Amino acid sequence: MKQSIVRTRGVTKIYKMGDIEVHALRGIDLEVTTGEYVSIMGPSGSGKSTIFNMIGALDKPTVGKVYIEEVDVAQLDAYELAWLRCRKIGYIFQTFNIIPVMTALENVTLPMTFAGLTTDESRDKGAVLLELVGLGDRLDHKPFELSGGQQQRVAVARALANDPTLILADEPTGNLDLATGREIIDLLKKLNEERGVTVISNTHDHKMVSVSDRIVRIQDGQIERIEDTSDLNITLGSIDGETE
Amino acid sequence: MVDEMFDGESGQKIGKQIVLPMRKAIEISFKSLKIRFWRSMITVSSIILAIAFLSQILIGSSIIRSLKGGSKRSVEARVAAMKAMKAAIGVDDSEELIALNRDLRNLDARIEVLKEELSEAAQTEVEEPEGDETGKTGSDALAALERRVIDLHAQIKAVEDKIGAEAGAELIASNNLLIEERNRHDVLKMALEGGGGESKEAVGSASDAPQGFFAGFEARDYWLVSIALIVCFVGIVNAMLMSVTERFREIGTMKCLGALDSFIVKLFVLESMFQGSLGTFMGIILGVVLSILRAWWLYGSDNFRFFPWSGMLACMALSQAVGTLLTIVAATFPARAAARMQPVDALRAEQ
Repeated sequence: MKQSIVRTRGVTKIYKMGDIEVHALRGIDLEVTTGEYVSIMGPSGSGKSTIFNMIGALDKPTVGKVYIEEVDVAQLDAYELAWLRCRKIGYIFQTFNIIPVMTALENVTLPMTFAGLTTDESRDKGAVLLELVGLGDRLDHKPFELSGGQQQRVAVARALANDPTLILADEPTGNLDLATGREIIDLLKKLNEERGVTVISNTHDHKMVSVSDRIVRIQDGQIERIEDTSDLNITLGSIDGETE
Repeated sequence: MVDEMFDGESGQKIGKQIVLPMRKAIEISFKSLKIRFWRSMITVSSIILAIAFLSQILIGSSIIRSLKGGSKRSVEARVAAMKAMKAAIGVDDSEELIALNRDLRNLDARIEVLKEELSEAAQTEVEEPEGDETGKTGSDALAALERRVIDLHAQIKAVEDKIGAEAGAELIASNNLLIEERNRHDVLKMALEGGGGESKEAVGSASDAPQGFFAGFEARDYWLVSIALIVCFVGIVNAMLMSVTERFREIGTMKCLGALDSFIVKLFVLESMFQGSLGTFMGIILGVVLSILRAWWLYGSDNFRFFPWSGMLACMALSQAVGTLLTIVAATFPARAAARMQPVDALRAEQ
């Protein structure tokens, strides 16, 4: 039994640029189940990032609904949204968005602090997560002391801070060279396989294709087609939001 | 902790347990200031300048009021002392003595004038022998005046004999001091008004001791203080606005990590509180030094005996409150605006 983790119904987004209306999304219907690794691909300006923002509850659709674990995101109040972002979703950005004034460890422990962990608990857990992404020896480094790939690893560790069921990645390899990008993809795949974390990733990096369960092709704000890369579906539905 | 969130069977539970303990918030905001030390110092320095200006204006006008009040008070004290003395000696006798003394001083002054006239006349006499009569009447008048001086001395002596020579001399000395102090007060008042004031205050009226803070404030003081406040406000708001807007992206990131709007506001309020109180404190010190130097330069060290210590403390307290409050308010509004944005807009804002 697969459980739906993300479901969108006719999601439309219209940006107003002066008098001109830009239709970034024209009715997206998409369903992602737990444990899947889904890549959203499409040319620049196709609306990939807009989908990312909608699914991540970072922006509101003009029309349509977004359900995360069957809960309508539009119905949530500020606290519940914050809780959702803190606990359920881990975000990874193209530009890393590491908080520049904090060390690697502080970046990873910040969401844990929000979630109510004590300083000691979050320190221990943060160290484990940084170890997991291969930065065990750089806990107290500042972002500017880290390379792009290392910063993105910090971002991955931070995304995992509160054991989310869903990781959203917006062009995670976009600012990285080939080899480093490959490492990040492998890392995401590893987390997906070992921890059963659902990964939804925006990309136009074709390296992503091989690791994805499904590829959603976007064109002009619409889903062009959805490709299954494998018929071999790993059954992780029973894990159901379980944590380590 | 994690387990109770997921509540066993339903992984769908949406809770509200998002926290940012105060201690952690203080730690985060303090670190954030420490790490971008020089950037913070730039913000702080504009607070310092704004507050130095404000406190210098406040303390400056407090000093002026106090100098005026102080010299007036010392005149009044002298008058009171004289009154006591008169009561001890006997009012009629002392009045008489003072009147005689005043006459004597007046006479002395007139003799001086006359003597000068005479010496001038003596020079013209050489050229015009006919002018003899003027000279004669002049020296006659002088002789008459000098006779009257002797006369007055005799009368004073008579009164002093009656009330005791010592008490009499004391009274006269005290009276002479009073006259001097009155003169000094007038000179000071004119100097202060010449310094840009437009006080129409008569000698010895209103201008009280600066007890109530705005007591004795004049139109010019209000004007200066309002200007200082505006400068202060614009400077601080600008500095805080800059330091918040350049961190929109950080704010957006924090929101993505599950921060509530209130956390972001909390962090910024704390940060601005640190910056504001430090900057204001340093600004006040600068303002105090400046205003003391200015008063010393303008009115001389003599007037420091009237220095408004309590008034200055009030000014410092007021400046501290204004500075800290302004900083916090100036940081809170942009931070709150940023916190209320959709995270995606905050993330995009900086680019």
